[in-house]
Amino acid sequence: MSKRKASISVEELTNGDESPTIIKQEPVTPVKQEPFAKAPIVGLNEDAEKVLNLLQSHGTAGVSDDVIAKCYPELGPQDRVAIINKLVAAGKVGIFNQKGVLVYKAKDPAEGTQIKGSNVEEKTVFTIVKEAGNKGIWIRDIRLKSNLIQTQLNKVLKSLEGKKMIKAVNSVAAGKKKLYMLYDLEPDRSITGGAWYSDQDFESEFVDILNQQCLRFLVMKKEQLADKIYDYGPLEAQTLVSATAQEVLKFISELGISKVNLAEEDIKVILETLFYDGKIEKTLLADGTYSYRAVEMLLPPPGFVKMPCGVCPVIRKCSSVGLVKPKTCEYLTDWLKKESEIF
Amino acid sequence: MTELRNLCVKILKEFFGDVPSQIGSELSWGPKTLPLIKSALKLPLAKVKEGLVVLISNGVAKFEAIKEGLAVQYILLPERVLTLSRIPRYLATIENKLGYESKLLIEEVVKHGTISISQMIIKVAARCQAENPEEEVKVSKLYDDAVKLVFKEYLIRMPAVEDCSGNVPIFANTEENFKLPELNAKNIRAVVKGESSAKLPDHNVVWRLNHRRFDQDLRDEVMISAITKRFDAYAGKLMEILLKLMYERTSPWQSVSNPIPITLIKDTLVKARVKNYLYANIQQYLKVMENDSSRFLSTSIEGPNNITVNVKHAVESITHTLLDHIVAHRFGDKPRRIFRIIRSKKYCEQEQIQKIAMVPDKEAKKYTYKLLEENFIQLTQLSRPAATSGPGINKVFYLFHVNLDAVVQMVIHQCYQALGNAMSRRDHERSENARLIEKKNRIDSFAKSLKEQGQSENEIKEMLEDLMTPPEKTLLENVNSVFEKLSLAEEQLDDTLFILQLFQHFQRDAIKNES
Repeated sequence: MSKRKASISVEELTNGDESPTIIKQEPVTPVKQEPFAKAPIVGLNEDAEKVLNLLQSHGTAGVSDDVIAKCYPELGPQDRVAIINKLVAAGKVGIFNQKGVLVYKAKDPAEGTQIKGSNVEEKTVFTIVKEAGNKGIWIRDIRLKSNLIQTQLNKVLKSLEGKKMIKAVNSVAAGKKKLYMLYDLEPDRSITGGAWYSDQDFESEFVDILNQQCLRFLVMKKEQLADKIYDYGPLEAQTLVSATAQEVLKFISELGISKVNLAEEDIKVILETLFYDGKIEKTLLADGTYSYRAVEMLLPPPGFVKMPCGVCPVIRKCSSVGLVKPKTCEYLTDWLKKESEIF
Repeated sequence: MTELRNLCVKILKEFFGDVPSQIGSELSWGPKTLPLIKSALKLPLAKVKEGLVVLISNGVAKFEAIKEGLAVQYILLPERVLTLSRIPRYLATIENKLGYESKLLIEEVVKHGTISISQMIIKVAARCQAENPEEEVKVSKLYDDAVKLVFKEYLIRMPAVEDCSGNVPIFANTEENFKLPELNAKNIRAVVKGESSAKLPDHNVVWRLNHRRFDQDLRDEVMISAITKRFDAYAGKLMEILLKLMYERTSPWQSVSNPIPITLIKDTLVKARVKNYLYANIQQYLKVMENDSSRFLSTSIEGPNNITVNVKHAVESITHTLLDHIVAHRFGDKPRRIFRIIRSKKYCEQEQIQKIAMVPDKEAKKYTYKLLEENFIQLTQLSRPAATSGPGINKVFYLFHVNLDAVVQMVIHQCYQALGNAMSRRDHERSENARLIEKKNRIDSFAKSLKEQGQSENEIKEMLEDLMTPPEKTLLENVNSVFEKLSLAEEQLDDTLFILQLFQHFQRDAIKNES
């Protein structure tokens, strides 16, 4: 099988150039990034990252120098050597000799962070944490899986944390629950809570503002058309005052009230709250998405709540005798004294 | 039912005075016989009888034979008592729809409870004459209006007495609730002009208000205004036409109308010479209304060219909105969101609620539990048996849901309470300021007598100016505004109550149909 080498030299590379290429050349297309690749790599220049991405997209098949040269003709042999050596030194790439041809393979970043001197316990815990991916894993589950006792596990976790191989993340769902995951992973949305959380605090005001602005947008759309609504048929008019989540998102982004980048999904969640407020209606479109429009409620506020009794917190205790009674009711007195006509 | 009892007694007192309200209060505990009422109230028999006559002729109480006809018991009809406070609205609708004379006729019926048609006309004619002595009363117009009221079923004929030899009169069992008796406009005119005093042939055919017909009108009003608010005036007009067409082919209190062909709607518009925006876009309007979540209309199963009116759905949607408003006003916007989420998801766990509502954890819990405490939502526990979930783990699911019937019932009771409160507060204010009000009345009658003596307006004003001190005047103004506010509140409360009662009506019907 292939034999690992520590580094390469220009001579080797030129030699490799002369020999017939056996590796099947595949058209190289930018492949979607794996979750591991999401973590930005520190200390590498653009070219190196390009090459690394290419290698990562090929996975275990490996890439020969030819392919790199073809994909990035702007890089000369010297550059390539420099880049590869840099990557190898950083532990991101391994060099293999595959039937006489030098092949580069991207190393799993986790593997890259393996530091010599880890004992068996550390390795076991590390693998367990690695398996949990970006969802993280709770300390109790690690204990159950690894069969280590609590004190020992704490020590191992501390040591791994110290080596910057894993990190602890607090989940928004349960504030005190620490979740462990690999150091360079971006925590999952379900843990960070997405756009609505900053440091595990739910940003209630932010949601409220978005809620208001989304409604404002839909109401504005309706008002803009109000003068010439009868130029169109009612059905057409309804379509004109409706907006899809994407349009609302565009409006919100242009407003610039959000520091984080909102996704269409986020806006849909906000629109859903408006729907449950009864302020907008949604219509199912042919492509399975919804369009939203502002609507009026069917009734004005009813007479019941215009009178203090309708909103009275102690109405259940109210009767003709006792402490709470209409004759001496403070709420009624205040309301009757009020000059302003509330009806 | 304490709220309802108190309220009924108050309404009876306001409309019929002390004795009938005392009788009503006795009867509200359950049916009673005449001797029992008498002994409980310690009133002379004649007074009790008089009071009962008032209650029965106004349709708020009834009697029935018990012990195989040996005794008679009297029963109060609380729901009928409540409709008494709705009468001003009935009068307003009638005046709106059929004109001033019809309103006067109905007013006369309300005053007497039951009355024959000719008597009704004669009384109204006399009243018109008194109000406007110069003008001659148009008896024929009144006659036509009265007939129209019967024809439109605003008045319902009381069954004739067949046999009154026993303890309880036996009524003729006829279906002809709206059959006119023999009437003669000429005879009536003769009586009005005082030329004859003969008994008119229909003197024993008496009529009372058909409350259901009035309620139907009010319901239409609510539905049309809801549609107008949600869409526009054209849609409201369309709803009006649809309802009218619905009554031609369906009994008005059905929950779903029979199919109405679209061509017929168009014909109606053509006949009414309406060729506007609505006429041009009728199909689209129907589509828009059908697709709306309020579900007032739906395409009939008989084909796309037929439309059915879903009265039950419409009332449900309106009730939903009503409850939403109440929750929002009492607890806030976010609790309303939570209330609506739970209602639309049927059964819902706490976690689900806060996820959809986008409300922080603690707040969402606070609101949910508050709603639960105030009985707007209910909690169901589902526990998984220990055997299936493993030893020691006893998982319990807590699911929130809205029991709409219960919530409506509760809000209705609170409305009763509020209505009762408004009335007793008004009584209280009146007795507190009794002296002042009396003084005002005295001054008014004094002014009237002065006017009759031929004093000029200015003189009277000057003379009366000093009779009341400025603080008294401001106080009187305040008291008057309080009265106004309270009666307005009562009127509006009745609107709320009406919608909730409509909801209950259709719900009850649904249960009846199922069984």
